[in-house]
Amino acid sequence: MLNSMTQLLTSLPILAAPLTSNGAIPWLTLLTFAPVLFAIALMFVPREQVSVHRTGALIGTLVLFGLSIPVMLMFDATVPFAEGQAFTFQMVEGPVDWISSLGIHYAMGIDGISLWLVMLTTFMMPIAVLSTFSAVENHVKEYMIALLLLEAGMLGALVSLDVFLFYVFWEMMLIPMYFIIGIWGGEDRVKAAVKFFIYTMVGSVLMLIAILYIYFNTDIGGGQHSFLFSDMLSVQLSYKEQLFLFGAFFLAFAIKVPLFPFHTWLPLAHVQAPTAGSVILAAVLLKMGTYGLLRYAFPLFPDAFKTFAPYIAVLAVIGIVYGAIVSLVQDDVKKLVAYSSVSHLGFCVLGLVAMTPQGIQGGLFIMLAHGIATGGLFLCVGILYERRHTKKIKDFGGIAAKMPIFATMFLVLIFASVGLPGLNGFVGEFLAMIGTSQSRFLWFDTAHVFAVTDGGWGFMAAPFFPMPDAQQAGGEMTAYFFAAVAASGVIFAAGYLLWMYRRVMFGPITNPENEKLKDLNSREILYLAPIVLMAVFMGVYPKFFLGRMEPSVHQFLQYMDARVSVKGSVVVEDMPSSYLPTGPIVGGDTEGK
Amino acid sequence: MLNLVNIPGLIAILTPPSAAEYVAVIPGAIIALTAVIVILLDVFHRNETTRDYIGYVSAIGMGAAILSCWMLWADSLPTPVFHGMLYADKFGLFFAALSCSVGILAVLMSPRYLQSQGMDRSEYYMLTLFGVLGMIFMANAADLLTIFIALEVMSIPIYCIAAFLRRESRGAEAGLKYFILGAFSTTFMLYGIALIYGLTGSTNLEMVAAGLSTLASAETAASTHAIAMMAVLMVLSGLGFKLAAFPFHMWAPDVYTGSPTPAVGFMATGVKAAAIAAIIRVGVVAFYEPSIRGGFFGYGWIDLLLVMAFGSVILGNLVAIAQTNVKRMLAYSSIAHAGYILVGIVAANSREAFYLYNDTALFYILSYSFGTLGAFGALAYFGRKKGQVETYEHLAGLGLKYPAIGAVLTISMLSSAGIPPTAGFLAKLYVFRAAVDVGVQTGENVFIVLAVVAIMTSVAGVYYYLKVLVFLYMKPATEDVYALEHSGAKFALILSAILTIYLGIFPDRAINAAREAVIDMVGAPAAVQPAIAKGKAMLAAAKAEEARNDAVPVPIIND
Repeated sequence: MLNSMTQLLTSLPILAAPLTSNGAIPWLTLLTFAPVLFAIALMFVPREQVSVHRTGALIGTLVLFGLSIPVMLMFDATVPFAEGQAFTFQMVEGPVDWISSLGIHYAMGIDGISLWLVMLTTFMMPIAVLSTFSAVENHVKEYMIALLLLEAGMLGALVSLDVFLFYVFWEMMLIPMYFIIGIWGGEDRVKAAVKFFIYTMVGSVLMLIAILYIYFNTDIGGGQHSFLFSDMLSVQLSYKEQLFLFGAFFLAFAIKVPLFPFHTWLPLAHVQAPTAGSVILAAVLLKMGTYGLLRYAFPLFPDAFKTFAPYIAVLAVIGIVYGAIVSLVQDDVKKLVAYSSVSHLGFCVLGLVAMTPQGIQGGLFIMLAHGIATGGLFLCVGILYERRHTKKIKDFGGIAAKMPIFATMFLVLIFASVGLPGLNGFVGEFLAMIGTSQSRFLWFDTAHVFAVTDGGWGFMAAPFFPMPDAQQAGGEMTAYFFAAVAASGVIFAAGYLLWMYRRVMFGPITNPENEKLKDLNSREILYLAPIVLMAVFMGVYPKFFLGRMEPSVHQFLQYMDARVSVKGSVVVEDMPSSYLPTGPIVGGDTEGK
Repeated sequence: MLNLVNIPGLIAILTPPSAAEYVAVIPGAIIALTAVIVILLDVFHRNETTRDYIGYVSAIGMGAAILSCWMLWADSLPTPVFHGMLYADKFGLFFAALSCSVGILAVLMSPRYLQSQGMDRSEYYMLTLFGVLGMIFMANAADLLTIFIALEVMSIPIYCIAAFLRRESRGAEAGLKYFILGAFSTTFMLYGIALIYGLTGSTNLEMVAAGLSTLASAETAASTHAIAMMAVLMVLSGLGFKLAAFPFHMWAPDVYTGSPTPAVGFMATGVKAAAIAAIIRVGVVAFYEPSIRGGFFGYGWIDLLLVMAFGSVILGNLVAIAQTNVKRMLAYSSIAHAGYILVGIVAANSREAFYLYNDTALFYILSYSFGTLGAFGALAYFGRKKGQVETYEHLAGLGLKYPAIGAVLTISMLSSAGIPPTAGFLAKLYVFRAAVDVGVQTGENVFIVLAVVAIMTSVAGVYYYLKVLVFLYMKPATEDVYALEHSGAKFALILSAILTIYLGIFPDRAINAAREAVIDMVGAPAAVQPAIAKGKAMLAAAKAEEARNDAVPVPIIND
């Protein structure tokens, strides 16, 4: 009996096998599962000891931020490209057989795309936790546990290299967020929570079917299939298959972003969520959508992506303008910031689909900048709400006189979100617009649309994008048009944000209740100051961030250039020689792992 | 039962079974012995104390039975025992162990609940034990008559359990409804067995298979095929009734609502497991003849199961949305789960090559059992001054008031909804994977449609499972609900939650056990032997791979 118990324990493959090949510390695993350990530790603290829970969660998230710093320092931007691969992962852990009967592995790694999102997550979490110290009074224990589990889910989804593992973490994020909105939210919280859950679930389930379909097309020998991302990337799919599978992936991620017609859950969720929930939702959870598009949807189905890219760009542009216009008319500060997210993430998606180095770097930078600036704005709204228990613009006015420190910080974050040069919002949006205008990817392929509407299914079964050789990439005017419309979003942003700021902060104090307002206390300064400083730092020294993204972006574009059947549509630039692979890049038909 | 005209057979009957054959009935014998002990304990019981210990004794007995299953696992017998009445293979042992596990969890969850309902009687435990006994023999049966007797041994105690809350009118309704409809359906089954005996001259599963294949020859098929189909469908409808799959589901909501809550957990898992075991066993061993089996609308029993699967997942999930009573909702959700299991069975048995996918049904029922018992056990853990906790409103606010039980119920709901990292997600994935794979390999789109319909309805299912969580955590607490503190019940609940998570994260051992069980099925027809040989090779390869992986990790991704 005892013997078989030990046998049982040692035969768990994950626990038995070493994670890294050279016996190094598995930083990413540590980072992902440490929040779970902290959450388990908090479970054993009696619920009456509220301050222990608060400081415990704060220390836990700070430790995680500390753990993530070595990851950033050890990240090597000069690593040569892995040949013929879409991504070069560093600090790889695994792959270890996790569920071997299903071909599921445990594998984690990081590259220039996920590095900064991991850093953003670990950076924002202590801030979010600190902001709840006075905001959340009920069920503090459960709240802190939910936040920690949420962090585990987010970090896991960012670093997993097995699609199944990614899916597990992707769904795992849902549950704590569902509870955070549903238990600690506003009056309409249940509806918001259920809507959030069901929307995401519908998308994810379709994605799961698509994942299974690709899974069955993988072959790792002996008729065995694999969920490993690198195995899935090497699958050759016909054009028709790609269209459907891309649709499923795109829907899942577009709901999460949220892209224009799928955004309806977002304002509700944001308005109802407690401050920390809104901050994490805006800063990290939405980025999972854009991250998923870039990491999974684009490289897995390059030809389908080429077909859909201009339509995605249309949705993104509509989102930019629509989000901005709807923001203009909001009378609720939080809702205004929520709709501004729709607008900003439109920029991000537009930059990503442009398939130019600047565009993708801009998109990635917007993810970070939006996380910092909008997260900060939600914190500011939370501070106002805590004092006045209202989020209506008309209840405020003249606050600046009473809360000068707050007014300064709020203003910096507003300008960051607007995109004032020198602050972080500008860099991303500028790059994204430059990238979009340079794009050779965003043109409507009328011949192809005709084929689809004309019912040419047989023709679509061709293995690749059916493009005559003579017809090359083009459509610069379309790209300029997209960039021009998107640029109007920046002007709108200045409009709605500054107008809101004027109505809330300046003018005479109309409401006598605002007379008694106290300025920020030291704890509030403690969590707002890092955000403000980070917004400035990212604005004046973006190279710190862009430099580490750059090789990954170039490699990704090279990969896409090799894979997309319409040659010349992806803009690939010359790169510093250190990034170049050791051998020639083989144009990627059968080239895989 | 052997053909009595056969003289050597007659002699065989007169020789007593060898000592090795008695090994096959050890788990059942342990259960029967425990049941007798429980009856005796009750005689000596003094009324001023509680009967908790009787529950513990039953649990220990079933634990011993599980242990015996584990010890017998390595040396399962390759031939039928007791003159072709029972099998002693891993398939039977798997289901025996599963029935005992659900039995243990159910009896541990019961004592305080029964007290709160004023029915602290040891008959409850005795009936549960006899129910488990029937389930064990149903999974091991090698003869249609053994199946029938085991079915009755299982059913009659469960009819009594259903009516156990005799002071409530709904309890009486549940018992009577279950009994009358159950008796009706078993009559059908018995009639089907009689027809099969008339056609083939035997009730032994392997002999029935031989008889049916002779009947399938061209000259006899015209006259007998219709009767054979009728008989097969009657047998399967009797089993389908126990499975509570569409269209044999009508009794389930009423019976589940009126029965004692922890017992519903037992009924919804153990009885379903036994029915699944019998369906797979009878289907594979006796009715595998292609003309009877059908598949892809060849009008055999596979097509019946296909319709049942479609109907169950759609009806179960959609009707569950409209329920206000959680027990009723779980009843409809159990119908839907029966549908998912049938998806796996249909996918596995539609072609000989996919025989190994029968393990999906085994893994699904295993995962489903712990999740469902957790849900019913958590409901039974709460009490009200009048009546029991059964509607959504009763659950309001309990999750934060009683975090441990709330967490168990949450995990159960997430597992039932199929959200990672719980067992329910992996089980659903495993079933859908089988259906999609069969669809892709055979080009029969009906399987893809089946998988897509099953997945989409499971999303609809998320809505009503979430509703439990909404009330549990997001509504203010009502005063009149309190926890029936009991360490045994708490232990069982936490154990089922841990198992649900464990199977969701480390399912390999369970999946391998299910595969071994399917591969080891004695009496599987020659047609599936290639698939079984392939499965054996796969298992051996997996074992070798595991040994190799332990030594050196293989780097696949470029560093």
